Amino acid sequence: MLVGILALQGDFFAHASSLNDLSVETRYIRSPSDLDGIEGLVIPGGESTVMSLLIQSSGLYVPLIELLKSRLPVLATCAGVIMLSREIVDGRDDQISFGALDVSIKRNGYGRQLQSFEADISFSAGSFHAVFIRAPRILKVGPDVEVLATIPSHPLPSATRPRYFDHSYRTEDAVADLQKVGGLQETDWRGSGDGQYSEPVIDESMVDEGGADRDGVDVVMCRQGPILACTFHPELTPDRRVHSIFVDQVKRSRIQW
Amino acid sequence: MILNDSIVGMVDDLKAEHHTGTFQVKRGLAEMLKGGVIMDVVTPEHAKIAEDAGAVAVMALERVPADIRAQGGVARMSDPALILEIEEAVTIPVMAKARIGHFAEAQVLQSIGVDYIDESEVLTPADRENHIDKWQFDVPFVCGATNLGEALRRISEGAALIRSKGEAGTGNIVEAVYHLRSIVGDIKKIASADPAELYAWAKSLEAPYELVKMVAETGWLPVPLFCAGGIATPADASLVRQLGAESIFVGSGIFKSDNPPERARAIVEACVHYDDAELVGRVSKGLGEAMRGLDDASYGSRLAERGW
Repeated sequence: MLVGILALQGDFFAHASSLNDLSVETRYIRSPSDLDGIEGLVIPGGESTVMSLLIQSSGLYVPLIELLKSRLPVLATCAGVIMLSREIVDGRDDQISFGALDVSIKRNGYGRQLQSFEADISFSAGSFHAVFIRAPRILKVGPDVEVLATIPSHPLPSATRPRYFDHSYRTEDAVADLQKVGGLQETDWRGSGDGQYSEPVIDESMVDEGGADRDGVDVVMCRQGPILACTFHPELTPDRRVHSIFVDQVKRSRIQW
Repeated sequence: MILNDSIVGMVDDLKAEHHTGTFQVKRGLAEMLKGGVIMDVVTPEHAKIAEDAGAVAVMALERVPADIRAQGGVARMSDPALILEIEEAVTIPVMAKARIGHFAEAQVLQSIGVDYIDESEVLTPADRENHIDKWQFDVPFVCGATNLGEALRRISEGAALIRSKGEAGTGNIVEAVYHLRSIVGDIKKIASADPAELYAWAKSLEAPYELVKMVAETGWLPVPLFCAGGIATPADASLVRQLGAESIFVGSGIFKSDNPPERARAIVEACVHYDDAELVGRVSKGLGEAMRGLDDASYGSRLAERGW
């Protein structure tokens, strides 16, 4: 079995090690000729805007679309999922995607690096320790998408920054803020003593933005036909069960041929 | 603060189940940056040019190293307002520099949400003996190193990414090559060393034995290794990638050249297709003049000697 790993930018090396752990032969894909003979494809994590640019300049866009149409099994993680999504919310204007996965996705949907997190998720094979790095957030999934794992959805902190040390902040702003939060009570302005100031002012309009169309959970792993997509990084942890599911899929598609 | 009780409750629950600021998460972002180019920018406009050209991240600075070198004086952390403007201007990760040992600058940078802090010899050091205790932070750190011992000491202090130092602001690749060959060369020697020899390696590198042992077992650093300091052309990018650097930092090399957008784009392509000489040649055509640069004799003091 030969699996191609899109190796323009991102954590392609981690995917290669993961598949090598499962005794699968891998090849880095950097030009169209590298695609010959691959039986599966991995689109790794990285920066989706950079990958979008490099896929075009490397002449890989059209050959990859043809492979996707031929139902080549694909494992996509993080930025890879963005590359496959039908709709990218807040993407760059010139950003391309393959539109092969019927989801609407938001880049950096949980915030910046400081909000990157680890969490246990559960899927059919049990509990899985997942690492999310500036992860995209799936806001909507289409009817043909099978949801494999979710995490509890949580409100995003405000996109507008809390107004510390703001010279333009005046008494009337303070009164307005106080009314917003329901008046002055026991207030610990120094927060919980962890070096932070008080809780950030949460912009109500941002709370529960998207993502919550499935009863307060976010989809973090899903499948549509031959595409297996994770917004987290199974390649960064030693657990190989997600890669095994993908390898099984490649084996099955082989039998069909 | 009261806010909405339910929201606070949810945020607390989240803290219980979700762990932020772990080493895995810090190192994870460095993994995502592999194969890419991190560009120094001094304005939001520069940041946009860099992002358009395919930069994988930007380093927000007030002055590029070539100007710091030329103008002299104490070089400090940039104005947080500038860094925030750059964060607003782009969607890729934003890094910023703190002085060696200046943990208060690092605290400020963390508070304004930068994605990576470079504890950098390009700025004037704030502590003659100690680097920042990087384990105390949720934001990841990148640190420079001239040799393997220095790299492992920085990792033991919590750095999640190492860059070979080179000599910033010179446009001269010679020091970067020297440092990279030294680090990668020692890694190869350790990987083939007898286990009994690792103690002596730890002693001579002045680095923790446990980290030396990890290098021996994996044949690589416990974190990614990038290259910085002197990269000015697409061929420079190809050179250091072939020598083992997993990504590159380009400082003065882009915005001190004739045609920054084209040069930036060319360096990005050369960094990805580093082993395809024909392609590196194609993207190198007609870029105009590279940054003027400094030859060996005219450096004056070496920035790479800062840090211990």
